[in-house]
Amino acid sequence: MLEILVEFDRSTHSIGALREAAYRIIREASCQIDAVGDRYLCRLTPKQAPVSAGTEDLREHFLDLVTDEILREKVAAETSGVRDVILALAFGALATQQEDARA
Amino acid sequence: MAGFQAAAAFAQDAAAAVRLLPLRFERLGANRFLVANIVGDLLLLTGEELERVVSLEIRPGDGLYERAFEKLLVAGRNQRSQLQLLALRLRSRMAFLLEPTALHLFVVTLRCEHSCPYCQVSRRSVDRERFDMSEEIALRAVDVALSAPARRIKIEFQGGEPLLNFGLVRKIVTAAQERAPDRNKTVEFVIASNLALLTDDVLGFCRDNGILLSTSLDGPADLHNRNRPRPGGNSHALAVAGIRRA
Repeated sequence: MLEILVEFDRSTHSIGALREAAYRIIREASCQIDAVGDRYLCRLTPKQAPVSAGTEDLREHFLDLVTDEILREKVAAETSGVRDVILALAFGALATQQEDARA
Repeated sequence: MAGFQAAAAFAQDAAAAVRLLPLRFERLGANRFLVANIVGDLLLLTGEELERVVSLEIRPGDGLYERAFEKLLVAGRNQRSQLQLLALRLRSRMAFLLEPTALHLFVVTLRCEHSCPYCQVSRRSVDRERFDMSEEIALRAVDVALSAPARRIKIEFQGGEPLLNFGLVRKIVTAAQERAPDRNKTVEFVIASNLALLTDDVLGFCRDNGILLSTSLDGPADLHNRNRPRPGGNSHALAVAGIRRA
């Protein structure tokens, strides 16, 4: 069975990003993730046998997905504080109202 | 005579004064991203532009700064007004959460003759009638629905496949119509169905009682049939035929 191996450095790639990318590619390929030393090994098994250029396309697609997930993690980390502020501004008054109603 | 400094002299201060706001994005192509702020305003960016916004490598006057600012992807670090604007819009979008619901879902059965892999329901096979809602529960649920503060109540039948327990759907509709006037309510009905079991009898009852049918086509036949497997592999043909008949 055809298998495409993609390696990532554990110091620069989170398992969460790899799992999200594995989920997003699930229609085209199954992905098994193993931690080996300082690397993550992602074994992609295509759902259908790819044509000649398809193997590289699938690898690139997976790399793009992982790259996107890492950027999403960065955005989430950098905006979690301000996100809480916006939510507090939007709904904080409701909590006060509910507390007043209970009092 | 004192003059103004060149714009470049302010660039570093400008970057430091900006902060990133919560955003989501999806890749639309090799170098095309759809970016949304926390209230769903959309902006198309290239990969390089998205990286620059996230890294705050944007400057007033470079065009991207203005686009990101306008779409509330970034805000002034010391400006609270943009956060308050987002909060106000978020609260408006979610205002429905403050109101008691007018929509009541009746899961009249967990049975279904489809076996869709993505279905969120704990689907049961068609021959296990113990997974149907009982008449007693259904009639009590009608009273619960009619006790909601909203004057217009909507009852939506879901499943499983609600047409597998259409007898109970009839009883619920009849009971709700009988009880609603005393409570000064109007009731609307929707049946969410894959339409595979649609009959003239069902259509006639829907027509006579103003019941709406809600259904889904996932796309062309091959996609729909793959998403919604059923014995015979004809879920698309049955759905299309049902839509035409309805």
